[in-house]
Amino acid sequence: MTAATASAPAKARKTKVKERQDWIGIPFCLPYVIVFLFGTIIPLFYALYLGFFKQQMIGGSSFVGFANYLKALKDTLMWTGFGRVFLYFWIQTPLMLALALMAALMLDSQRIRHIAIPRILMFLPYAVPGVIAAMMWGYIYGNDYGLFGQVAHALGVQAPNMFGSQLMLFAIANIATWCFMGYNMLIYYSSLRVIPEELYESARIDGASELRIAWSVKIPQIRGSVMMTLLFSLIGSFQLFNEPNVLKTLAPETINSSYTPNMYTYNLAFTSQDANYAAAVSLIVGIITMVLVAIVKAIGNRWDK
Amino acid sequence: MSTKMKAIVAAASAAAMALTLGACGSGNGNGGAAGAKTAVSYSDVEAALKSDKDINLTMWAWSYDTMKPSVEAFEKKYPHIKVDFVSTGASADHYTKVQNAIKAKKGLPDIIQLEYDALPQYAVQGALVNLAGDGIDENIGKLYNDAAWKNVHVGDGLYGIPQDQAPVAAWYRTDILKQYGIEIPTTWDEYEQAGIKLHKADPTKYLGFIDTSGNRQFIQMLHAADATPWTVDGLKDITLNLTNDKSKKVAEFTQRLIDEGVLAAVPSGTDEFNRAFADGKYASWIDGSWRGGLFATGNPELKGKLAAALPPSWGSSADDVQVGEAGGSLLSVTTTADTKEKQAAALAFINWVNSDPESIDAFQTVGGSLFCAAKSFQSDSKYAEVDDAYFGQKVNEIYFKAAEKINTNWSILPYNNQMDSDFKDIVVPQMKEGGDISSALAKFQDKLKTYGTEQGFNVTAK
Repeated sequence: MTAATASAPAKARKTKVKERQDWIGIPFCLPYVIVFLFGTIIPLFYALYLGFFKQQMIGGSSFVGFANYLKALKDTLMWTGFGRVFLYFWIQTPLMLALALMAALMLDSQRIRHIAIPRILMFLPYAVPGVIAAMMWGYIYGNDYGLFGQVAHALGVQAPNMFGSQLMLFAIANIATWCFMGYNMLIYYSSLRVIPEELYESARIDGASELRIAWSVKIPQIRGSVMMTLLFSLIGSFQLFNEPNVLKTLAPETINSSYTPNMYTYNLAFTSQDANYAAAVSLIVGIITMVLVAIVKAIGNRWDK
Repeated sequence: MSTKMKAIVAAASAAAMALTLGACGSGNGNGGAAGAKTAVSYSDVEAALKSDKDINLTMWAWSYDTMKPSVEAFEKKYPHIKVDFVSTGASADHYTKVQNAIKAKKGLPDIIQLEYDALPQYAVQGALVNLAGDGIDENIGKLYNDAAWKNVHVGDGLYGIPQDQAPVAAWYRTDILKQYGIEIPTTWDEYEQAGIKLHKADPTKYLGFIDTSGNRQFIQMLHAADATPWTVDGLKDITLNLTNDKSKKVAEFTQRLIDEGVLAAVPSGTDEFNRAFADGKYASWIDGSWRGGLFATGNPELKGKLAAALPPSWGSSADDVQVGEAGGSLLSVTTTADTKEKQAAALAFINWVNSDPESIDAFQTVGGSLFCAAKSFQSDSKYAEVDDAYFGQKVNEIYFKAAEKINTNWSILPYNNQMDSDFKDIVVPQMKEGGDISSALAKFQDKLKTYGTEQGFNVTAK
């Protein structure tokens, strides 16, 4: 129905229907909105508020203005942690996303039979909780009794010390890749499935090889998904916590209490009992992560055009 | 997904962190004033047991199963004092609950269990009652091991009654020592010689290890060596002296033992470590006496191959040995018990549970085998004479001797958790071949000073 053909009463009725539709959406959103409000927005402002105070074991609580925020900006422990997760992001994310993309393209190549089996096998590690995965890999990395140590022993060579400062980031990257590769693969795969077959047919008629199709048709078609997983990984990298926190018990000499920004805030809050400064640091960590996400998103938008 | 959505996801973590922070912040708002000195005297405590007036007390502890038989025995004997005893689960959860209740200024029970290491932190926050009333020290103090009695003091105040204790002892793999013709060392010099001999004979073996998973082993070595790395006066004044000669000597000696292959620097408690220990990679273990009880369940295959001994002495002979501590807990009365009657009943109760022979007996039989701090336990030949089936030794006799030799010249920092974290950040990375523990101690001291000063203590570093 268009405005030109509609009679006046009909138009009024339509407006009414539309209004009711608007209203009906609210109850559906409400559970999310409430949880989001109480779980995110209010705590965010509470953290901001906490950051303006200082609490001492002797002396109690006092208002200190922006002192905690200024201190955080000059805090070398926080920035060192940032540098580390930034480096980690460059090690882990490209590797994981490339592997996920390759796996998805292979599954989508229609040359694999019983596709459900490799698909579920690759996705399975995602079902393992991060802490459990880190513990499991911690055993595997072991120099004397772990798989690494045993294999090296059988070959008569020295096992690499995965817990040393040189390899630790790789050890963590490997765990995260193992956990999340299948998850990203599934996102890519489902995006690939909705590309119309006609595109491939016309590419084949034009003489494109399967590799060429993958590169020039499939990947550009799913760049929205690639962008999304990149953002997820960026955020995940900057919030790195579980893996290093578990491996810390195995390698206390390598992983310190401020190894990643999240570990640092956690230790400030629960070991140093300094909730106020921890709130300030976590807000700054959150803001920097948001800025980085915005930058990556802006670059991605340009790619889209 | 839009930028805004992503930003929201990113912000959520900061927010989630903030939420937990809100629930778990530190300290209370009363400016860390010491708990009001109680007017409760020893005669009040005696009267509280004889009275027939009903008193209801509440108590939180993590070692619920261990203590339950003793608490029941008390209630049977003194039915007018009723104890609502609540298990707080694991000790980490216990401290979170206690800290939250202090912060919220409500919900804290009358009595809480604490470790010696945690006591000063709660005492300076003003959450505990100073129990040093007339006649308490004279009449109750004598019931407990001297070191334990000292540990329940902060400044001049008495903030708890000791329950159990953990004098440090050593356990040696006698089968390995025998194989290489090594005697159990009694001094650190002998320990070093024995360790060099063992490592030379079999480079895959170490006489012992230095635990990198926390401060416990190294700090107790400072304690045993009488190094006094810090002293705490009153509730506010802390003097740090981690660079004194004795501390330096312990640091340099430990470094040398690592470099010589006498000690392996390794985190204990990991699967890798436990398997290596079972396989005989480390021929000794130096830790709190409670460790002895864990071997029987953790390493049944080593039955008859382990022997307990006093830890090595820092002096020139075994007679000079001074012993450090590694844990132990106590019961404190909190400011929730705000009447004289309640405080007297609470003190009477915790003193009975921690020292009455009937309660001690319950701790040793129904509740397990707690290493009580009471003299009624440590001086009773009935407990010393017990032949331990696992070790084939009268191990209690050794632990009792160690308890007697605990160096009482020792203070506990009121920010022990932070100390542990800083120790791991600064000292542990140097615990390796070619490391420099001694200069790490100087940096460690700087960090402790900064933190203490920020928390409002008067910290002097020497």
